[in-house]
Amino acid sequence: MMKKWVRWKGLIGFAVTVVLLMLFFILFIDSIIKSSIEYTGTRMAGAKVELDNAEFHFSPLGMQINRLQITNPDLPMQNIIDIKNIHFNLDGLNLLRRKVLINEMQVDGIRLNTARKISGAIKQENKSRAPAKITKSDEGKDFKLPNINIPNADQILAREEIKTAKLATLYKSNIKASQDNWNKIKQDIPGEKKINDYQQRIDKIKQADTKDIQQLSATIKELKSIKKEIKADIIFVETSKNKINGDINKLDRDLKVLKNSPQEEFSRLSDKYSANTSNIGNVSHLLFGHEAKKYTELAMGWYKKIEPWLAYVDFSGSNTPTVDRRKGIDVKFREDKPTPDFFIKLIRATVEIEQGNFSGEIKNITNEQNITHKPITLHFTGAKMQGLDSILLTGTFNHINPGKAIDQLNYSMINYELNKYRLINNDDMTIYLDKAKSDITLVAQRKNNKIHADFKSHIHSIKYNNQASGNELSMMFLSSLNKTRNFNIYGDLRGTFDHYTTKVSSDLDNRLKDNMKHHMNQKMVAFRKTLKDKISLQARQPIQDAEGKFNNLNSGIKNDIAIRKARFNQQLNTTQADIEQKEQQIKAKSDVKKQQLKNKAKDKLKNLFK
Amino acid sequence: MLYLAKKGIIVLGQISKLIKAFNSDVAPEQISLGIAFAMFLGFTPLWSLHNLLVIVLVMILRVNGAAFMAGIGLFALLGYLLDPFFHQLGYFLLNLEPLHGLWVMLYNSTLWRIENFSNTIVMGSVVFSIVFFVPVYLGSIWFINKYRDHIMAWINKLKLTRLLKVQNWADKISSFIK
Repeated sequence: MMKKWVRWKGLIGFAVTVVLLMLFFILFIDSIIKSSIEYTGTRMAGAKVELDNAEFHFSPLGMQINRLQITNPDLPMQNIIDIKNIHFNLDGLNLLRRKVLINEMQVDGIRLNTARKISGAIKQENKSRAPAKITKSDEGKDFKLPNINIPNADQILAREEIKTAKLATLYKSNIKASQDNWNKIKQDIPGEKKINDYQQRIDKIKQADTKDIQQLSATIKELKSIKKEIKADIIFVETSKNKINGDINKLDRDLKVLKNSPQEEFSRLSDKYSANTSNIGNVSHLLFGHEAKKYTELAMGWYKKIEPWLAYVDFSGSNTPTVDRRKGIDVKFREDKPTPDFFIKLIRATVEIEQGNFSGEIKNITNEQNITHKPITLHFTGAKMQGLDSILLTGTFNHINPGKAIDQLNYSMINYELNKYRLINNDDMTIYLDKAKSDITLVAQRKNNKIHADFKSHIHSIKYNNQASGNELSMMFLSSLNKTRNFNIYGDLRGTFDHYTTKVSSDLDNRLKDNMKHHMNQKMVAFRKTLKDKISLQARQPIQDAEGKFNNLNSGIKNDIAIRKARFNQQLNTTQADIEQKEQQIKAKSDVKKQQLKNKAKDKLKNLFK
Repeated sequence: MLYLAKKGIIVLGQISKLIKAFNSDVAPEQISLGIAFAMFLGFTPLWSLHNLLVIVLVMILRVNGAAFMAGIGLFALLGYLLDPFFHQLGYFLLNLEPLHGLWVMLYNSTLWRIENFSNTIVMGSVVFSIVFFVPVYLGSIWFINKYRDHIMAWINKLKLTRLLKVQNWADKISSFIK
């Protein structure tokens, strides 16, 4: 029966198969691991992940990976990370339990942003790519100075109408109306004709018999009557001025308005065309905002990529895990000695950057911190580097309680040298920090899904290499910037992964604003003077004409009245003189008559006493 | 769809091999045992510890290799369709309170961790295969006997050569797709 069912040769076949499989495994394990890392890494990074080779060793169980290159998905001709060598040992027993436990990993020669010989892009069907990043050569190209135009007086005066000329024309027509009005008034004012009439009447009266006292008295009476008429005429002449006074006063007021109008026009135009310097405040955002946005997006992108390695935190609010229909899910049970499925106790790493090497450690890497009860920590330092005094990077990624996850990253660099750092490069100007040093601090924190990061860069010891075209504003901007020997840039980020805002500010804003304001004010003073001179020049002739006409009218009226008044006064005086003469004649005649009567009486008395 | 089409063509080749085995003078028990063992490899994830045991048994016991190989193809296709059911069955069993102690004990054993029993698909498909092992074995014997008594003669009379052609044709397509 046993012989019927069992074939012992099959056992040999099985043993041979197992041996062949083991041989295959030993011979090709390195290639299998290499392919697996490249395949899985490429899927995770979204761009080619390559390694020169992987060497698996059984005693002690471990692996060495040589030259691992991870392509930057946004720049396929660049590796975002290029690692010379990774070496680690594995816990064999736990590997059988599907747990990857690494006690210590040595990572040497980490380089960032290295050039690739061939593109590391991969075909990604139906995957929308992020908009093309602006490369280094484009930086600063899109910088535009705020629109501040220093006004040009000639252009303004060609465009704007100066109301003085209009006012002067109106004023002259008013003068003409007043002149006509005066001419009408003048017709009713007694003048030379009336004086001649008076004279004729006086002459006629004076021709009367002067021997008769009665006649003389009558003459005097008539002369007095004429005198009274002359006095009335004088009063009439004097009051005639009142009839035109309203016009004259109005003209006088209008003349003042006319004379003030150039000043008013100057004020109006200088207010209207004054340059506003308030929008200079956005300069630092224009200068550094673009770069801040670029690095923020880059950091957020990579943080999202490493997030699953920190811990699984479900921010969607959904508790239903997605099940792969061919893989199912692994249900976890309590372990006697709980250990995470993946755990690296310590990574010692050396990073090579342009300025030199810095090294550090990353501890307790796992996405099951609830088992290890230890957060992931990192601590990297570097000192006495070329063009950089010191660098310090520390971080804690605490997901022990996934509901209260806190990630914190601190980064600082002291005296980081910026050589030929381009700030602006456009048609109007080129601004380079030829030499400068920067002290940088970054504190970033993520608490649950809220992100909060503060950045400060103190840039000092600046030597510029700036050029500007003839553009006045560019020159002014450059001149303002050249005075600035140090400044601070501040950046902050607030929000969640999907909705965050970044803000970039700088004390450069206020300094540039003040400097620009000073420049602008100087320019505006010159502009105002030119504008004032040109308005005055335009207004001078019409005002002079109007004033001359007013003076002519006014003096004409005054003279006319004065002459008439003088003539009537003269006539009055003459008439008065005639009256007095006649009165003296009467008196003389009365005296003679009295004397005659006296003599006659004396004679009569003499005769009586004779 | 492409996956199913490929599998379908491969299975067509396997069916022809299976019919060839049915038509041979191999004992129905050996063919049926091959089919029953094939269920494990077809339904459960290939790289599992229990499959190593199944392969050892297949090689040691007098099991019909052609039936075993053909059965793997057939059950793999069926298994793809049954995977959601295996997941649900495995999930149910792994979360069954009375068995919790057993699962915890097995979970702490390296051997069982290698077996990956805590995976829902593994658990569901293995339990399903164990439960249906005997029925499939006995059912297959019954079917082969019936086939040999009634259907085989009828087929032989009709178009045996045609069936062989079908097999050749299916083999060609299968190798072309592979």
